[in-house]
Amino acid sequence: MKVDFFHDQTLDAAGAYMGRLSQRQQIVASNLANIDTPGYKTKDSSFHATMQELLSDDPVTLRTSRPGHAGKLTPIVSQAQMFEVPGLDSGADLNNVDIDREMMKLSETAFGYSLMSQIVRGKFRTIASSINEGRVS
Amino acid sequence: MSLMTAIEVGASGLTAQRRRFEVLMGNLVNANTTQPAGTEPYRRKDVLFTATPPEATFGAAFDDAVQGVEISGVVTDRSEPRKVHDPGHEHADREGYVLYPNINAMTEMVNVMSATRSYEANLQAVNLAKEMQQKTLEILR
Repeated sequence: MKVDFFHDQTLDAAGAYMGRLSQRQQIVASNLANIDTPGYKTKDSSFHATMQELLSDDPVTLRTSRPGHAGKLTPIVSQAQMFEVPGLDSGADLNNVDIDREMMKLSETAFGYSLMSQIVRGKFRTIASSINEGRVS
Repeated sequence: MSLMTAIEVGASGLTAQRRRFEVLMGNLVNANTTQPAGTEPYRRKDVLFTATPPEATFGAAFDDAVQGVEISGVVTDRSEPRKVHDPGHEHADREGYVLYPNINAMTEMVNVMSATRSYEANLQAVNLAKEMQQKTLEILR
């Protein structure tokens, strides 16, 4: 059985997920920076839809004109969809940033990132283990 | 690198809240400042926050929705000064009234607390983004 470590689905998915998480960290930082800006609306990225995309087993098929072209890609898009979060109460200044919600999202994102980096690390350890003939370095 | 943008945005929040803190402190210390009769007394000041795109030092933000914050101006509260009857005061006018600034120490303290809380929230955002970068570096350790 041929194992291709460097075109690993798990690595691709974890990498894309980490990319999304760092984008989300930007959004949360933006919400927190504008916590006192009149009229600012809380924003978020389409996060769960993203996981749905990653989990779908139906890859995107690209039109190819030559046999060497990449035909199938896993549907990981680098751009998340941005939207204003509905249903939040806004104060008199029409700003609806909720500090507790944002702090929760902040640690949630950091935790997810840490988790993903452990998974990627584990993957590379597997490679290192086979290089070292099974000895744990 | 997008985590750098997160730090940049957080830092803009820290700067804005610190400047706001300075302005609020200026109000607090001048709560009882009087001026000679006939001159304008000190008036309460506040800052105006405006959302602004972050500086793209390490590559652009991934979406226009990512916005830092800046102070677009310091505004003066035009409400009426407090009139206190104190004929013996150096700055009293002919009827014996002294004009004190339109500053309520309680209001200022609440604003100071709000600025502190927001500062802490932004600090936390910066710290977590730093931690995430550290995790990336630890992958190959």
